[in-house]
Amino acid sequence: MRPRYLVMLLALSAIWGSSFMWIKIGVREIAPATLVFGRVGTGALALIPVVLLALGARGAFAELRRNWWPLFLVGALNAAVPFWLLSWSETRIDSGLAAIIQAAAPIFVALLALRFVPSERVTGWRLVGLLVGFAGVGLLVGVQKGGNVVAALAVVATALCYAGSILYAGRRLKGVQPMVIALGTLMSATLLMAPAGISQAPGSAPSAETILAVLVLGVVCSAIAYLLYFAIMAGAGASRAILVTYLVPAFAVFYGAVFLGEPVTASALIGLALILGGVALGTGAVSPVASRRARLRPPAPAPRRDLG
Amino acid sequence: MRGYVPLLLLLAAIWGSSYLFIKVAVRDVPPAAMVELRLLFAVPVLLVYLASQVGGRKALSELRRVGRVGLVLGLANAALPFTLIAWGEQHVDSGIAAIANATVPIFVVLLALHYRPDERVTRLQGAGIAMGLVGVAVLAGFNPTGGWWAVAGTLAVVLSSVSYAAANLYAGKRVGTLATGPVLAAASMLAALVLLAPFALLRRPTETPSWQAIASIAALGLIGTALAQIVFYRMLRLYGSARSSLVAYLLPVTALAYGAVLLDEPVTGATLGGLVLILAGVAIGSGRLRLAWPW
Repeated sequence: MRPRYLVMLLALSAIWGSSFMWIKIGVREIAPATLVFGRVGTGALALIPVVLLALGARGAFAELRRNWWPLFLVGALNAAVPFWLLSWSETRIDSGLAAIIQAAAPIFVALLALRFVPSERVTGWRLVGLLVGFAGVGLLVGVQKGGNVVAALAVVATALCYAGSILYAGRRLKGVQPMVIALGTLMSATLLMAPAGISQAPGSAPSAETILAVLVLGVVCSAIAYLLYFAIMAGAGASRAILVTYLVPAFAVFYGAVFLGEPVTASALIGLALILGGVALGTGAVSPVASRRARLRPPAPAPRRDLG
Repeated sequence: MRGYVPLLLLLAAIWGSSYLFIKVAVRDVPPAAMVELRLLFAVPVLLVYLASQVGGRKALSELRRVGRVGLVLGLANAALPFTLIAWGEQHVDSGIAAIANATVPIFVVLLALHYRPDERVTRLQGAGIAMGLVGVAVLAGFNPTGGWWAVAGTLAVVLSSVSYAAANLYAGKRVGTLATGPVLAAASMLAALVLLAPFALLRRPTETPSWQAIASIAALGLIGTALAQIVFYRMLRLYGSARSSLVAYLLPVTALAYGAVLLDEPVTGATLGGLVLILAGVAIGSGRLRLAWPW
């Protein structure tokens, strides 16, 4: 990987990793639905000029219109619903923990592929990887006290949402410009979140810190992060871009500990190790017995766009 | 068929949300001013959409050609009903308002009976109309919260339905060859914007409205008014008016759901009874008469 892309990869991980912290800051004051509405709304507004410059008004509009229904579904499944679930769960559990559980998304991709992609087989070390990853998720959910189990399960549900939308988008939005997918997703998520987001909005303006959190989430963690991700995909390939999955939870735990004073527990570290090890093995990215066949096999579908 | 159901559900979801946005907005902004602001958001989008469909110059000439019809529709199909609904929602829940507003087809039949003597109504249709009116009574009369003001609020929304129905009949006679839906929508909303301006200025909000109210009005104008119209035309073009007008049955249901889930509005027996009676009345009562939306 050229140094340029390495830097971009680190920057992307740092950005996506920080989204968990900004969510935590935002939901202290405003309702999760309002936070998500502000986030996807500002993200869409920030992407509009970029897309217009890159593709021209006519081309972008035509592509949005042609694919409106899949884009709408992906907007629900890849942004509105998981963002809402994640933001709600962060009213109860630590941001670092949420990031660790969410890192299991590629495992769910492999699992769903098993069910919905007929040619997909998972055997040997990949199967071991899936089991190890699930053990990690199970551990983290299991150690939660009382009502926090539900919050941890909500994060598991976001990982499932991402996995489902990745497989769906891979099939129905193949060949659509990535930027158009990003914009269409954010626009339909804005539409979906408007009723809940506005009806639960506070009457008076929230504090500057909360507004900053929403703006950073929308402009940096959604719009700029998408652009970075697609640039890495195009320049260094999907198998490199996917490395971001491993780095995001590390950054998120770091931010949580340093800026929010969240404890770094032993169970969180063990869960993180299990999940990331499981992802590495389960997606076939790493194989202890490197057979020729395993080396020739392309890695499992890359979890695109699983941003916090 | 593919694409019809998704489009229908999407339209019901975005159109149904307008009652919620109105409810939130009128907490802070007086009705006429709220509608004026709503139109300020919606009209530019509708004008741009029209220009993108037919070209800028053609759009201008079409708008000019619509003339007086646009003005009448601006009053009967936008300014008056929008303000009545906004006033009504100061006193009743958003779900109730949506149900009361679903009576439009019933009044279309009633008005047609009076103004078009050649229209005949079967006994069954008559029963349907009666059923719908009983539904209105159930909805307004047994309204538990707010006493007489609530009854007045429901009746204001019913009056807005009468206004829509009158606009429907008026447009049905004159529009035929005159213009297409997007032209009429842009023209009438523009006319409403002008007509309402003095009333909006007369009763301005006393203090700066909250963020929430402003966001609500923006969403109402952009999503509930402009986008809903544009999606509806697309639907009319693709599936015809008979199948498109089915959205009218879904609208009160989605609006009721939004109100119950997001605003904690109670869903009472009277609400559900009124909903069922009105929708059944619409289905039976509209029978032979071909019902189209105003455009």
